[in-house]
Amino acid sequence: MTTLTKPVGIVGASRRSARFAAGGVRGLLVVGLGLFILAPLLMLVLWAFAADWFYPSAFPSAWTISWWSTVLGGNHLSSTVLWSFIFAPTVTIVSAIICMPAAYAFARKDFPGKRLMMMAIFATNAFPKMGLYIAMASLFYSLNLMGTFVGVVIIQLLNTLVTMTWIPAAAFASVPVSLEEAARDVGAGPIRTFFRVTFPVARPGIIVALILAFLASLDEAQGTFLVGVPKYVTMPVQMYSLVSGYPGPATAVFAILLTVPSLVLLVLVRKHVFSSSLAQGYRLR
Amino acid sequence: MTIQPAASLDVPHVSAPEPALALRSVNKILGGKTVVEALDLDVAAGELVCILGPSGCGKTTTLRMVAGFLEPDAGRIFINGRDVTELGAQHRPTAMVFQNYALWPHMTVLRNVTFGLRARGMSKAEANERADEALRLVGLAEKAGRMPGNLSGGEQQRVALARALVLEPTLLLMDEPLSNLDAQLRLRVREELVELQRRTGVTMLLVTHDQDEALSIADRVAVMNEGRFDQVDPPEVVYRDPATAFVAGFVGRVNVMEGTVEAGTLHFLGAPFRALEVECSNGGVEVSVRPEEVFLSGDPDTGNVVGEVVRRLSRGHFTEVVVDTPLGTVRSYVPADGRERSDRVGVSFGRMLLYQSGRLVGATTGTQPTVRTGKLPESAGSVAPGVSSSTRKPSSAQ
Repeated sequence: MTTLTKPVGIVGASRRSARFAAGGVRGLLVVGLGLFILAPLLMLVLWAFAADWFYPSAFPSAWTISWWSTVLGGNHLSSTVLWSFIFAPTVTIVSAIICMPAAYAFARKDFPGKRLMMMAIFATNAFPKMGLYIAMASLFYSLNLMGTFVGVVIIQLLNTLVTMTWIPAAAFASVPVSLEEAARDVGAGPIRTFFRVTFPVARPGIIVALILAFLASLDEAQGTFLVGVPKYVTMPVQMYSLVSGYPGPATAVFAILLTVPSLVLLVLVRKHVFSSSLAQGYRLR
Repeated sequence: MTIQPAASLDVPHVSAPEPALALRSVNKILGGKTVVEALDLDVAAGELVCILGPSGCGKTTTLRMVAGFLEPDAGRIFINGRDVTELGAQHRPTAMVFQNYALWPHMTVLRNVTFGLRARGMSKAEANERADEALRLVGLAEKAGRMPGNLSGGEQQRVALARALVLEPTLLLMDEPLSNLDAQLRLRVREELVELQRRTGVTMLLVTHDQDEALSIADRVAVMNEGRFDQVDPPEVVYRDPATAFVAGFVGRVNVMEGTVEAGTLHFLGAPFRALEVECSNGGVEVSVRPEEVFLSGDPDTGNVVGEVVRRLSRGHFTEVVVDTPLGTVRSYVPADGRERSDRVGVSFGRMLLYQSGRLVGATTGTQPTVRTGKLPESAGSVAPGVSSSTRKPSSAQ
């Protein structure tokens, strides 16, 4: 990583050069942070095209695209992509159906045990996942859910509960109550009020939650591996077996393929999440 | 800014036999505390009534009960004679302008205004036409396509007004409608509101903590204190004959002096001051005098009492003079061009309001200010409760 040292001679320098130095430090921080995020991705790309790469050389000594044809040509890819893109939307939708009403209730209603329930949902993320999965596996065996589609959906839902409840709850809570009252005041019923006022105003937060849930499902490997194998093999589960069965570059190719959906999603929803006209609207209280 | 009249909204003022709004012993308890107690109020059709009170007095709670956002714990609410106590907000013929306007940020101005009409099942074309009319009424027709976030505070306020007016409500409710506007704009919008109310003939119930606002626009002012109406009267009456000591202190300013009544005579500091002809039991009495009813004379011997001038504060068209007297510190408003510069002055009192246990028991009629010349007789005032020979227009203290 980059080391940050203060430029020599800053003591006693004019205020202008001090400000210049401060700007320099800030620039270095930005570059450092950028490297921290991007360097592993760059390594991944390099690996995906490397024919030979041995320590201590900084770059691969020979290049190839044969790993791509290995991965893309193999029979393991197409079915895993299919399953990934069946499970991810299913889990996202089911999660939304379960969590959205809860999120609205957390944001707007006062009921006994509210805090306890919010903490309980949070707790699903507080324990080591594998321990939770093992405990659930025994339950799944007795319910005949092992190796079933429903079983995989349930195990993946666990990863989405927190984001799908807490983020929309915060989004709903940030919608001023007076906006809903104003809708009721002009004659709108509760359903029209929710779908025409509350939901649209909370939408950016809800879209973020949907994306996070989708990606969480897409990246989930441990639980799916435990419950779904051998019938339901998703991309990350496949990657696990690739790591043990193939050389590094094949895994790198697969990892890059896994990041594609996330990037595409981000580009697609950028407009909705960061739209400035909406952001301006929120300055109204 | 101009407000164009819209023909279809131009309803002539007709006084209905039934009051537009009637509250009957309304009670509300919030968080174990009685916020509103035994409230009675009648608002006639076409009338503009202001509920005036300090923050926390229950005025917003009252408005929210009328709008249907809160249900009273006891009592009934009638709109045009119909009992609406149990009716939800969406079924009441009221429309509200919220303190923060509560415009929907994701809809254009036009859609904000048509939303209510559409919710009531009106066709899109007709709703747009009506909304256009309402926006023209508030002078915002050319901003119909804008988003609320791109409008100024005053424009947002007018959109909220158009959104309420377009529904042609039986009763227009306004919660501190001017408090989010800056001082200059507030004065202008205030006049526009009165103009609009006169033009549309809509019945209005407005909540405010600003006495200046209430006095200048209301047909009647309901002064609220700790969940009760202390007085419901036209502004002039509220100012001239405040029914309680609280109203006297809250609406305009008063000088409060402690006196006693003995055998029909008001005593200050044990000495007889003025003969009273009012039903007033013997004992302590709180005497309130408006600063404009305190007259100063350069000759210390001419007034009722002698005072030392502590401060002179220029208030523009008049000067506020703070005077130390044996009866306590007294404030007097004198004309700005007053040549009075001496430090020792004669202080005489005009119209005095007498309160016993907080209630108005009587008022002395206003004496003519003979400040600069003659000496005031010791017992100048006769007393008539609720009636005054003074025709002086009340001027606001702020």
